[in-house]
Amino acid sequence: MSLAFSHRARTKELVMTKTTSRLAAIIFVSSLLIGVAGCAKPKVQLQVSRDRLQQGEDVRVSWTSKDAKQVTINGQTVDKTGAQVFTPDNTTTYTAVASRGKKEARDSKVVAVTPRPAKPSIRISADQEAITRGQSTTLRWTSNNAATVSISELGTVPSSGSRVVSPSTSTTYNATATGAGGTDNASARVTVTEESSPDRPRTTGGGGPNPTIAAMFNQWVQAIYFDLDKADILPQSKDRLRRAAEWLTQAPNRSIMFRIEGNCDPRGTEEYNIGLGERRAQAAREFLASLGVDATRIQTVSYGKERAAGTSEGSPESRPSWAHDRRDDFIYVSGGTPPSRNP
Amino acid sequence: MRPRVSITSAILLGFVLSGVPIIARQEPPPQEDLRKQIGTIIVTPGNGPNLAVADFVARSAGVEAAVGTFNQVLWADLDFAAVSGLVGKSLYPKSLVPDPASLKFDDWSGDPVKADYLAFGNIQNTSGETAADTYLYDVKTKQQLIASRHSGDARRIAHEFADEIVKLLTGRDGIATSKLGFVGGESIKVMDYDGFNQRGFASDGPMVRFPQFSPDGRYLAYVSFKTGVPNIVVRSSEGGLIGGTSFNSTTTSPTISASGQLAFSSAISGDGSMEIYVSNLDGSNARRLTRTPRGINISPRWNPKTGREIAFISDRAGTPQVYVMDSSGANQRALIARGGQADSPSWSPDGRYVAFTYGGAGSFQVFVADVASGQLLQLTSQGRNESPTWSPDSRHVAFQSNRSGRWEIWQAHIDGTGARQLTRGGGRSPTWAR
Repeated sequence: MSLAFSHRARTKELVMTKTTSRLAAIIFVSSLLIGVAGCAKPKVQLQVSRDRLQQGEDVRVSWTSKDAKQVTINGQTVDKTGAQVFTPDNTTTYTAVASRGKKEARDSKVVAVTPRPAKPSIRISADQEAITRGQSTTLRWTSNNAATVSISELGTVPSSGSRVVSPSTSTTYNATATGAGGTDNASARVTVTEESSPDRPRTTGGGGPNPTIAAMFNQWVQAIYFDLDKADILPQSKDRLRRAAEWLTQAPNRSIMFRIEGNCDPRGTEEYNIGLGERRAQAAREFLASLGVDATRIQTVSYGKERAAGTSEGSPESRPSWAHDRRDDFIYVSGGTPPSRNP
Repeated sequence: MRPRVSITSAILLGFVLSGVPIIARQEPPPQEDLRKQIGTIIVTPGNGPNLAVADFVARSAGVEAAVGTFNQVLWADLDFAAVSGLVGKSLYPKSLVPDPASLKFDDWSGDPVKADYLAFGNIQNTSGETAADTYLYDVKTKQQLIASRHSGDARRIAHEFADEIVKLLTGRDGIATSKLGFVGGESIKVMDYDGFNQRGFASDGPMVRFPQFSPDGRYLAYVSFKTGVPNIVVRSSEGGLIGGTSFNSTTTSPTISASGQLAFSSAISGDGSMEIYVSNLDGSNARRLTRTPRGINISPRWNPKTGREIAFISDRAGTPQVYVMDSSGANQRALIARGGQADSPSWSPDGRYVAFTYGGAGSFQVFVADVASGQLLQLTSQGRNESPTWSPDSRHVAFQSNRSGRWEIWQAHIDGTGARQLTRGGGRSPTWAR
């Protein structure tokens, strides 16, 4: 039965095709005549690959025209038939105009652009970053553009707030802000020491007179990472350096002297890498200086590839990796006023 | 005797990069082929005079060990010197030749030895010291060319006699008594040119790097991280402190001119860049030569011959390339600009060639450029090879290679042949001194 049906359908189609082709021939001939007479009205058709997109995404605009002397897309002369990719920032109407003398035809399509959701950001700090066991401190955090905020050890928390904590061992509180625009992370470490044996921080003076300040320095001024063969400060590093600059320019911290140590991954040559590492240190110093940190507080040193441990690419967080090797370390040297301790 | 791979065939094996314009120069380069040029520098069997070296003979008791060492070292020196074709010992007559009286010329000039020259002699113990009576004869004309006596350490006297032979055959000083500085572990070390007698030279600071001898071998400059910031230290070859820099930013890559001036690279300008400076030997009176804000100018090397030019590495046009400038800082121009990454240039003592590290993406080799014509030869191809330095006679190159699995110092002829490993306990940044 289905066979019989399809057979009949095909016959009908055949008849249809014959009629259409005859019609097409007539149209073709007459259009030729009109064309010779020089009074054909140009035609244009415009299509877009999508009519709604998010900021930063692409749209392909394609058009075909007929009998046109000139075709423009939004005022720009283009090929008579073609396609172009656009990345509109706002909702945009694409209009193709096909003209021939005074005659013209238009076709338009609207592409609706929704703004990209803002990237969430979060900051977290502890009032005292070094406590002795049994003491407590207050964690404070603020976030922007976040739908949810969570902190390790504490779980989901309000988007901004504070909490008194009394960890029994040194603890890193990792805060994560998640929103439509992505996620952001920040952490605060609370170092817990026994009364008699302070946790020795990383300093040139082997702990020096100010272990607390050195520990705070390490919390606020953290390593930044670089692209291969580049000394440009990456966007995520700028955020990190802004945070560092905010702390470094606070009154009690303005006397802190520190060192930036530039490093490279092991693939380049030894001698040149000393230069590249120094450029990375200089780039960070320059950026901090632009944020108000007095450049004379900063010593720059390059270790080239002397400390490189990576054997393959990876992420800056995974060590050893080349991405981790390409970094600036920030080393507390001296200065700063210790915060007063609450009993 | 095992014939060495001939220069021509080694080059045909693909050591030459040709057909690519490599040097930014106005006039067309002279057409003398670098392959041929270098081919006349290293002598291979059949390509120069034939030299036979008879085993030295013990003339007193207790010198057997010294004689063994002497024979081994003399042979290795003359082989690496490559100024003559060494005739293999298996072809020599059985009779010993301790002195001219026992020399039968026809034994050596005729078949199968067919030598042009014969070195021979004896070793004895005179008043507690090893002494060698050393001879060189032209066995075809039956002429005595050398009759001398050397006393002291067996290795040392073999090196001295080898250099004496080279001087006589070529009119130029040999390299067997020369020495190399290098970075070994966390100190600067010095060793004989063949890798023996390694001794510590300096280890002031947690890290010392980039040693460079002065052209006359009287001074050695290097980088020390002793203060936390890398700075230059200059010492006499005996180890006495001459001076150095004490800047607050990275200062590296020292080089000393024939007239005793220092040049180095430093970040002290405040332009966020590494720039080249010249100063007095003790680091005083530093003057800036380059000016490329946010750029890297590094690895300066004084032309040891003229003292008027400095080769250096700059990334001013993108990737690090070899540049040259007058020692006043004027006339800065690219010497070799072909993309990729270049580092650690080194002038040959005769000023004709610049060897340098070139490559990219973790793969680097030693290349030699003819300064006049801009032609380029690739010297190495096994593993990674970097930081070349020239022998005092401009005929050999030492460099660091990881072909054995870690960085060690190697040396080779300037056509890339005759490569041999000098260090076994790790080595980087060699610097060859007189």
